[in-house]
Amino acid sequence: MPRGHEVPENHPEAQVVTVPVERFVTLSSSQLPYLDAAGKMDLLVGLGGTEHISTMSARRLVAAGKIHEVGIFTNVRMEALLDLSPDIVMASASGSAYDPHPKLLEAGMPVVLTLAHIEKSPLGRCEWIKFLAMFIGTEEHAEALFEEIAGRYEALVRKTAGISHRPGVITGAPIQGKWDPRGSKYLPGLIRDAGGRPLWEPEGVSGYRKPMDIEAMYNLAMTADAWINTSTWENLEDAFAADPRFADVPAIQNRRLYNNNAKTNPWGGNDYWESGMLYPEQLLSDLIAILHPGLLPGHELIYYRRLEGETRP
Amino acid sequence: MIRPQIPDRAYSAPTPSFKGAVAMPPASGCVAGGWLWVLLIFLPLLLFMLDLMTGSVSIGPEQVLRILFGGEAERASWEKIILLFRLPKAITAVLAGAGLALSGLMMQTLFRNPLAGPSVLGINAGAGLGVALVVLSASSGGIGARFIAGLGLTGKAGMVVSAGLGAGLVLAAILSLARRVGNVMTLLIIGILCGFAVNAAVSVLIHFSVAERIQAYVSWTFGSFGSVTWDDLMLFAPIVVLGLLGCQLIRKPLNGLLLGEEYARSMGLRIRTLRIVVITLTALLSGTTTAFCGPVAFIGIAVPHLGRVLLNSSDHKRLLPATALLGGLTALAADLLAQLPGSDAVLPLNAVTALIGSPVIVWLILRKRNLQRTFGG
Repeated sequence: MPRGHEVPENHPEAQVVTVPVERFVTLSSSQLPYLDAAGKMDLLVGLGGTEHISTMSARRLVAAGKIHEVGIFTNVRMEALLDLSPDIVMASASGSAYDPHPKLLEAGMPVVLTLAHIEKSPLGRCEWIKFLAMFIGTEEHAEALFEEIAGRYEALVRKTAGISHRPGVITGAPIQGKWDPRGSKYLPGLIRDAGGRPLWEPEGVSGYRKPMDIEAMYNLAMTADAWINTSTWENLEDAFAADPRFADVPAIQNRRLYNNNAKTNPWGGNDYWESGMLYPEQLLSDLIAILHPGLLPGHELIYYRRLEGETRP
Repeated sequence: MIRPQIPDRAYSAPTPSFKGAVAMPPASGCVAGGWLWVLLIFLPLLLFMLDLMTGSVSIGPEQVLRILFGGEAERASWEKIILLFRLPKAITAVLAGAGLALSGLMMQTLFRNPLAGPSVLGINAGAGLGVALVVLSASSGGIGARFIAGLGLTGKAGMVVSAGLGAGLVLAAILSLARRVGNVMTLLIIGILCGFAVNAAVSVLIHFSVAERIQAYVSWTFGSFGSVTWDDLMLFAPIVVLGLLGCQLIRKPLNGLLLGEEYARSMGLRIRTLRIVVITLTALLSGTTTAFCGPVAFIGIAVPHLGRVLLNSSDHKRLLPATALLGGLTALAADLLAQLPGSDAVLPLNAVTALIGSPVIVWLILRKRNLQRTFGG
């Protein structure tokens, strides 16, 4: 409800949030880049996982004691949260019994859920800024920013539309004899938009979305031109340490290994998960530069970096 | 420390339990026993071959055989898949299964407790803490990660070494206690509490870690035979084989333990020395397996029961080799099922061992009442 308006009486069960809010709390750092872009960081009073965040304006406010740590996942600090008396608490839900929002609702908190993380389209994920904007009173700004981002994104997609050679891409890392390619829901879409083929999720097939046997991964890896989002690896040595048997796959032999950790901050967090989610066109330009360097000559990778090191025979 | 002067009635069987087998009609026992041993040797071999022939990548049996005998396969990648992925995995399953099963058997005998398993002494929890220190603290440059990286170990090698160190440290603590504590039940309680304390430390580390790191750790706790390479096997196989052979050397003293410690002592067994040997062998077998495969559940607790029921005996002379074979068999079966034959997905190994194995064991134990004979009560 806009501030100053009467609350309608025909929805007695409805949760009422007076907007624009003045005291904003979010359990996830993914809201930070838009708060920053909209110049509304001063509304934020509580945040989960303050230690690892990359958005500098938020870090400064945390250091100044203006933004308080409220905990994450199963470790939400209820008392600290109640003490902040927020106008809304933004949380994401996974549907599991460990979601914090039922407890927050029980405590009478005005909880708002976001499901941006299950969006399959990279632009769709970004478009959630319009939802956020409704609460902080920046709807027009969000509309305009999204149009701008979508315009840039679609211009890039047009560059790859006519490409006939579509390189195969794999993602993730083998852990303990298994491979779980189900990282981010939007990644297959992003790879297709960049003119590549996500090998673990071929067009029209959705059955691949499950943890796979390591030999299945090896089999796919043998046909992959590039290998991206490689866990916490920093160089080729890390790849060999994880599983030396992958040393002969073409992506490693041809040094086509790229990790999305170029913007890892000194506190262990990765800006890929913050500003990267607000600007999917930058992720897309990185991927196009990786898969089709000729289309974006001179592009310097932003979120990605190539893993360096000696290959093994 | 209170030292009971009379045997604890609740735990000691009034009659030597392994005589139950001797009391069976010898003829039928022999014939059934003969077939049983044939099966115990033949079935693991069969499952071993099946494990090599099935997987998420479909490779025909004749191709698999050709590759195994050094021939050329239709595709070069198939050769790699069989020789670098499936073969070490199957060998690891056999060794790990046998090692865990014997660890469990020895713990059940030492503590005369049917619920004991390789993890009761907190040694596996120690391995978990070692891995957690390295995996979870890596992002924030934690002490554990820096120490292991300082040794020049990253990735899986770092995990294996840290698990071994963690298990070794807990083992050292338990051994120093075992020499001082008179009552074996006290030792059991200390071991279990030690495990809780170590796991508490792990949850604190998880609490302060970031999502990707937590996922890597959780993935380790699911257990797997598939990450062991030939280089790993060069270390893993000799240790486990030594441990398995070591167990066979103490089969008589183990039988003595079943009669109750006082009784065993009166037979001239040096209880404390034996205790230390048993604990060291268990730590060697289960600690090494945990280091390479993660904490594989169920096999250590359940397979010894399966062995007693099938042999209808608690005599370690037969039980030790049978349990080792059954352990290998169970591990191979679990690995086969975890791959979900006919699909390219994979289940967590521990889910398979527990979900499919537990009902089987419950059924077996309810049918035969061997449990009471072995553990009294």
